[in-house]
Amino acid sequence: MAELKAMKISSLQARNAALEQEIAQTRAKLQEVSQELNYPAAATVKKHIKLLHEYNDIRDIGQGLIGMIAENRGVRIGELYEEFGVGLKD
Amino acid sequence: EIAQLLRTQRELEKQLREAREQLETAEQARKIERESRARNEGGEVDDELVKLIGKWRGASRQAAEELFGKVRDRVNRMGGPRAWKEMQKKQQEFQGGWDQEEQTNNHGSDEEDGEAGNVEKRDIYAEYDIDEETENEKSQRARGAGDTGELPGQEDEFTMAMMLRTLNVDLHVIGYDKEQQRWTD
Repeated sequence: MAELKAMKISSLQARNAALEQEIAQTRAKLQEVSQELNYPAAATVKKHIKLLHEYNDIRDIGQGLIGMIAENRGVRIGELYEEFGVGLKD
Repeated sequence: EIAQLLRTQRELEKQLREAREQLETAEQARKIERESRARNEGGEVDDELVKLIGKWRGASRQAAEELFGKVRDRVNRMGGPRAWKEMQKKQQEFQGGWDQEEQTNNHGSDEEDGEAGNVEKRDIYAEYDIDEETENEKSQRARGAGDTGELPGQEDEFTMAMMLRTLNVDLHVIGYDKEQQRWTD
Protein backbone atom coordinates (compact mmCIF):
# COMPACT_ATOMS: atom_id res chain seq x y z
CA MET A 1 0.00 0.00 0.00
CA ALA A 2 2.81 2.40 0.97
CA GLU A 3 4.55 1.47 -2.25
CA LEU A 4 1.46 2.42 -4.29
CA LYS A 5 1.25 5.75 -2.47
CA ALA A 6 4.91 6.47 -3.18
CA MET A 7 4.37 5.72 -6.87
CA LYS A 8 1.36 8.08 -6.95
CA ILE A 9 3.37 10.86 -5.28
CA SER A 10 6.30 10.55 -7.66
CA SER A 11 3.99 10.51 -10.70
CA LEU A 12 2.28 13.70 -9.49
CA GLN A 13 5.62 15.34 -8.80
CA ALA A 14 6.81 14.47 -12.30
CA ARG A 15 3.62 15.82 -13.81
CA ASN A 16 3.88 19.10 -11.87
CA ALA A 17 7.52 19.50 -12.85
CA ALA A 18 6.60 19.05 -16.52
CA LEU A 19 3.82 21.59 -16.15
CA GLU A 20 6.18 24.12 -14.58
CA GLN A 21 8.65 23.65 -17.41
CA GLU A 22 5.97 24.13 -20.07
CA ILE A 23 4.67 27.24 -18.31
CA ALA A 24 8.19 28.66 -18.27
CA GLN A 25 8.69 27.93 -21.98
CA THR A 26 5.33 29.47 -22.89
CA ARG A 27 6.06 32.61 -20.87
CA ALA A 28 9.48 32.93 -22.47
CA LYS A 29 7.91 32.69 -25.91
CA LEU A 30 5.27 35.24 -24.85
CA GLN A 31 8.03 37.59 -23.74
CA GLU A 32 9.81 37.20 -27.06
CA VAL A 33 6.68 37.90 -29.13
CA SER A 34 5.55 40.80 -26.92
CA GLN A 35 8.86 42.61 -27.37
CA GLU A 36 8.10 42.86 -31.07
CA LEU A 37 4.74 44.54 -30.50
CA ASN A 38 4.20 48.31 -30.59
CA TYR A 39 0.85 48.14 -28.81
CA PRO A 40 -0.73 45.95 -26.12
CA ALA A 41 -1.71 42.66 -27.75
CA ALA A 42 -5.25 42.40 -26.42
CA ALA A 43 -6.12 45.94 -27.54
CA THR A 44 -4.75 45.33 -31.03
CA VAL A 45 -6.72 42.13 -31.50
CA LYS A 46 -9.94 43.60 -30.05
CA LYS A 47 -9.74 46.69 -32.29
CA HIS A 48 -8.96 44.58 -35.34
CA ILE A 49 -11.98 42.34 -34.78
CA LYS A 50 -14.23 45.38 -34.23
CA LEU A 51 -13.02 46.98 -37.46
CA LEU A 52 -13.47 43.72 -39.35
CA HIS A 53 -17.11 43.54 -38.25
CA GLU A 54 -17.63 47.19 -39.16
CA TYR A 55 -16.01 46.62 -42.57
CA ASN A 56 -18.16 43.54 -43.28
CA ASP A 57 -21.34 45.34 -42.22
CA ILE A 58 -20.77 48.50 -44.26
CA ARG A 59 -19.59 46.55 -47.31
CA ASP A 60 -22.78 44.44 -47.17
CA ILE A 61 -24.82 47.64 -46.98
CA GLY A 62 -22.92 49.24 -49.84
CA GLN A 63 -23.18 46.20 -52.09
CA GLY A 64 -26.90 45.96 -51.30
CA LEU A 65 -27.64 49.59 -52.13
CA ILE A 66 -25.43 49.68 -55.23
CA GLY A 67 -27.01 46.39 -56.28
CA MET A 68 -30.44 48.01 -56.16
CA ILE A 69 -29.22 50.88 -58.33
CA ALA A 70 -27.62 48.45 -60.78
CA GLU A 71 -30.89 46.56 -61.02
CA ASN A 72 -32.76 49.84 -61.47
CA ARG A 73 -30.43 50.89 -64.30
CA GLY A 74 -30.31 47.40 -65.80
CA VAL A 75 -26.52 47.04 -65.53
CA ARG A 76 -24.21 44.67 -63.67
CA ILE A 77 -23.21 45.78 -60.19
CA GLY A 78 -19.49 45.56 -61.03
CA GLU A 79 -19.93 48.26 -63.66
CA LEU A 80 -21.00 50.76 -60.99
CA TYR A 81 -18.24 50.20 -58.42
CA GLU A 82 -15.94 52.83 -59.89
CA GLU A 83 -18.71 55.41 -59.99
CA PHE A 84 -19.25 54.84 -56.28
CA GLY A 85 -15.56 55.00 -55.44
CA VAL A 86 -14.89 51.37 -54.60
CA GLY A 87 -12.90 48.67 -56.33
CA LEU A 88 -13.81 45.04 -56.95
CA LYS A 89 -11.15 44.00 -54.47
CA ASP A 90 -12.16 46.49 -51.74
CA GLU B 1 0.65 15.08 0.62
CA ILE B 2 -1.15 13.67 -2.45
CA ALA B 3 -3.98 16.17 -1.96
CA GLN B 4 -1.47 19.02 -1.85
CA LEU B 5 0.25 17.75 -5.03
CA LEU B 6 -3.16 17.54 -6.78
CA ARG B 7 -3.97 21.11 -5.73
CA THR B 8 -0.62 22.25 -7.11
CA GLN B 9 -1.26 20.37 -10.34
CA ARG B 10 -4.63 22.10 -10.85
CA GLU B 11 -3.06 25.50 -10.18
CA LEU B 12 -0.22 24.82 -12.62
CA GLU B 13 -2.67 23.66 -15.32
CA LYS B 14 -4.62 26.90 -14.86
CA GLN B 15 -1.46 28.98 -15.19
CA LEU B 16 -0.50 27.06 -18.33
CA ARG B 17 -3.92 27.72 -19.93
CA GLU B 18 -3.59 31.44 -19.21
CA ALA B 19 -0.06 31.60 -20.55
CA ARG B 20 -1.12 29.82 -23.75
CA GLU B 21 -4.06 32.20 -24.24
CA GLN B 22 -1.83 35.24 -23.76
CA LEU B 23 0.71 33.79 -26.19
CA GLU B 24 -2.02 33.17 -28.79
CA THR B 25 -3.26 36.77 -28.44
CA ALA B 26 0.27 38.12 -28.71
CA GLU B 27 0.91 36.09 -31.85
CA GLN B 28 -2.35 37.34 -33.39
CA ALA B 29 -1.39 40.92 -32.54
CA ARG B 30 2.05 40.44 -34.06
CA LYS B 31 0.45 39.10 -37.27
CA ILE B 32 -1.91 42.12 -37.41
CA GLU B 33 0.90 44.61 -36.82
CA ARG B 34 3.20 42.90 -39.35
CA GLU B 35 0.49 42.86 -42.03
CA SER B 36 -0.27 46.53 -41.39
CA ARG B 37 3.40 47.44 -41.72
CA ALA B 38 3.72 45.36 -44.89
CA ARG B 39 0.84 47.24 -46.50
CA ASN B 40 1.65 50.68 -45.21
CA GLU B 41 5.13 51.20 -43.72
CA GLY B 42 4.99 53.84 -41.00
CA GLY B 43 1.20 53.92 -41.02
CA GLU B 44 -1.14 53.11 -38.15
CA VAL B 45 -2.20 49.53 -37.43
CA ASP B 46 -5.34 48.66 -39.41
CA ASP B 47 -5.00 51.75 -41.61
CA GLU B 48 -6.10 49.59 -44.53
CA LEU B 49 -9.30 48.48 -42.82
CA VAL B 50 -10.14 52.03 -41.72
CA LYS B 51 -9.63 53.22 -45.29
CA LEU B 52 -11.85 50.44 -46.71
CA ILE B 53 -14.58 51.23 -44.19
CA GLY B 54 -14.42 54.87 -45.26
CA LYS B 55 -14.66 53.92 -48.93
CA TRP B 56 -17.66 51.68 -48.44
CA ARG B 57 -19.38 54.16 -46.14
CA GLY B 58 -18.99 56.84 -48.82
CA ALA B 59 -20.27 54.49 -51.51
CA SER B 60 -23.22 53.46 -49.34
CA ARG B 61 -24.20 57.05 -48.66
CA GLN B 62 -23.90 58.02 -52.31
CA ALA B 63 -26.05 55.06 -53.30
CA ALA B 64 -28.56 55.81 -50.54
CA GLU B 65 -28.89 59.41 -51.74
CA GLU B 66 -29.58 58.27 -55.30
CA LEU B 67 -32.10 55.66 -54.18
CA PHE B 68 -33.74 58.15 -51.83
CA GLY B 69 -34.30 60.59 -54.68
CA LYS B 70 -36.08 57.93 -56.70
CA VAL B 71 -38.04 56.30 -53.87
CA ARG B 72 -39.25 59.59 -52.35
CA ASP B 73 -40.76 60.69 -55.67
CA ARG B 74 -42.47 57.32 -56.03
CA VAL B 75 -43.80 57.37 -52.44
CA ASN B 76 -45.04 60.93 -52.79
CA ARG B 77 -46.80 60.00 -56.03
CA MET B 78 -48.51 57.23 -54.04
CA GLY B 79 -49.77 59.77 -51.51
CA GLY B 80 -47.00 59.91 -48.93
CA PRO B 81 -45.51 57.44 -46.43
CA ARG B 82 -48.76 56.58 -44.66
CA ALA B 83 -50.37 55.43 -47.94
CA TRP B 84 -47.13 53.66 -48.82
CA LYS B 85 -47.13 51.86 -45.44
CA GLU B 86 -50.73 50.79 -45.97
CA MET B 87 -49.85 49.46 -49.41
CA GLN B 88 -46.87 47.55 -47.96
CA LYS B 89 -49.10 46.01 -45.30
CA LYS B 90 -51.64 44.95 -47.93
CA GLN B 91 -48.84 43.45 -50.03
CA GLN B 92 -47.72 41.45 -46.99
CA GLU B 93 -51.28 40.29 -46.33
CA PHE B 94 -51.60 39.31 -50.00
CA GLN B 95 -48.18 37.64 -49.79
CA GLY B 96 -49.18 36.01 -46.49
CA GLY B 97 -52.44 34.77 -48.00
CA TRP B 98 -50.55 33.49 -51.05
CA ASP B 99 -48.06 31.56 -48.89
CA GLN B 100 -50.89 30.10 -46.84
CA GLU B 101 -52.74 28.98 -49.99
CA GLU B 102 -49.54 27.44 -51.36
CA GLN B 103 -48.96 25.58 -48.08
CA THR B 104 -52.47 24.22 -48.06
CA ASN B 105 -51.93 22.86 -51.59
CA ASN B 106 -48.60 21.29 -50.60
CA HIS B 107 -49.80 19.59 -47.39
CA GLY B 108 -53.35 18.78 -48.43
CA SER B 109 -56.23 20.78 -46.92
CA ASP B 110 -56.81 19.20 -43.46
CA GLU B 111 -58.22 21.51 -40.79
CA GLU B 112 -55.18 21.41 -38.50
CA ASP B 113 -53.07 22.94 -41.26
CA GLY B 114 -55.45 25.85 -41.58
CA GLU B 115 -54.81 26.74 -37.96
CA ALA B 116 -51.03 26.52 -38.50
CA GLY B 117 -51.43 28.88 -41.48
CA ASN B 118 -53.10 31.50 -39.30
CA VAL B 119 -50.44 31.16 -36.63
CA GLU B 120 -47.80 31.66 -39.31
CA LYS B 121 -49.47 34.84 -40.62
CA ARG B 122 -49.56 36.25 -37.08
CA ASP B 123 -45.82 35.45 -36.84
CA ILE B 124 -45.20 37.50 -39.99
CA TYR B 125 -46.91 40.46 -38.37
CA ALA B 126 -44.86 39.91 -35.21
CA GLU B 127 -41.70 39.59 -37.21
CA TYR B 128 -42.30 42.91 -39.00
CA ASP B 129 -43.38 44.45 -35.71
CA ILE B 130 -46.73 45.51 -37.24
CA ASP B 131 -49.59 45.37 -34.75
CA GLU B 132 -52.58 43.52 -36.07
CA GLU B 133 -54.96 46.30 -35.09
CA THR B 134 -58.40 47.09 -36.19
CA GLU B 135 -58.98 50.32 -38.17
CA ASN B 136 -60.74 51.74 -35.12
CA GLU B 137 -57.87 51.05 -32.71
CA LYS B 138 -55.40 52.52 -35.16
CA SER B 139 -57.20 55.86 -35.41
CA GLN B 140 -57.26 56.22 -31.62
CA ARG B 141 -53.56 55.40 -31.31
CA ALA B 142 -51.59 58.49 -30.11
CA ARG B 143 -50.01 60.40 -33.05
CA GLY B 144 -46.29 59.75 -33.46
CA ALA B 145 -46.55 56.27 -31.99
CA GLY B 146 -47.23 54.82 -35.42
CA ASP B 147 -45.20 51.85 -36.58
CA THR B 148 -42.98 54.15 -38.64
CA GLY B 149 -41.37 55.10 -35.34
CA GLU B 150 -41.12 58.65 -36.59
CA LEU B 151 -41.31 61.66 -34.39
CA PRO B 152 -44.70 63.35 -34.02
CA GLY B 153 -45.54 65.35 -37.14
CA GLN B 154 -42.95 63.55 -39.27
CA GLU B 155 -45.24 60.75 -40.31
CA ASP B 156 -46.32 62.55 -43.49
CA GLU B 157 -42.80 63.18 -44.70
CA PHE B 158 -40.85 60.33 -46.32
CA THR B 159 -37.42 60.52 -44.74
CA MET B 160 -34.03 58.95 -45.48
CA ALA B 161 -34.21 57.21 -42.10
CA MET B 162 -37.53 55.66 -43.08
CA MET B 163 -36.08 54.38 -46.36
CA LEU B 164 -32.93 53.05 -44.72
CA ARG B 165 -34.92 51.29 -42.01
CA THR B 166 -37.20 49.76 -44.61
CA LEU B 167 -34.11 48.44 -46.38
CA ASN B 168 -32.87 47.00 -43.05
CA VAL B 169 -29.85 49.34 -43.11
CA ASP B 170 -28.46 50.03 -39.62
CA LEU B 171 -28.41 53.82 -39.25
CA HIS B 172 -25.42 53.59 -36.91
CA VAL B 173 -23.30 51.57 -39.35
CA ILE B 174 -23.96 53.84 -42.32
CA GLY B 175 -23.72 56.88 -40.02
CA TYR B 176 -27.07 58.62 -40.35
CA ASP B 177 -28.53 60.87 -37.62
CA LYS B 178 -32.30 60.46 -37.67
CA GLU B 179 -33.01 63.51 -35.50
CA GLN B 180 -30.81 65.89 -37.46
CA GLN B 181 -31.63 64.06 -40.69
CA ARG B 182 -28.06 64.11 -41.97
CA TRP B 183 -24.94 61.97 -42.34
CA THR B 184 -22.68 62.02 -39.31
CA ASP B 185 -18.89 61.65 -39.14
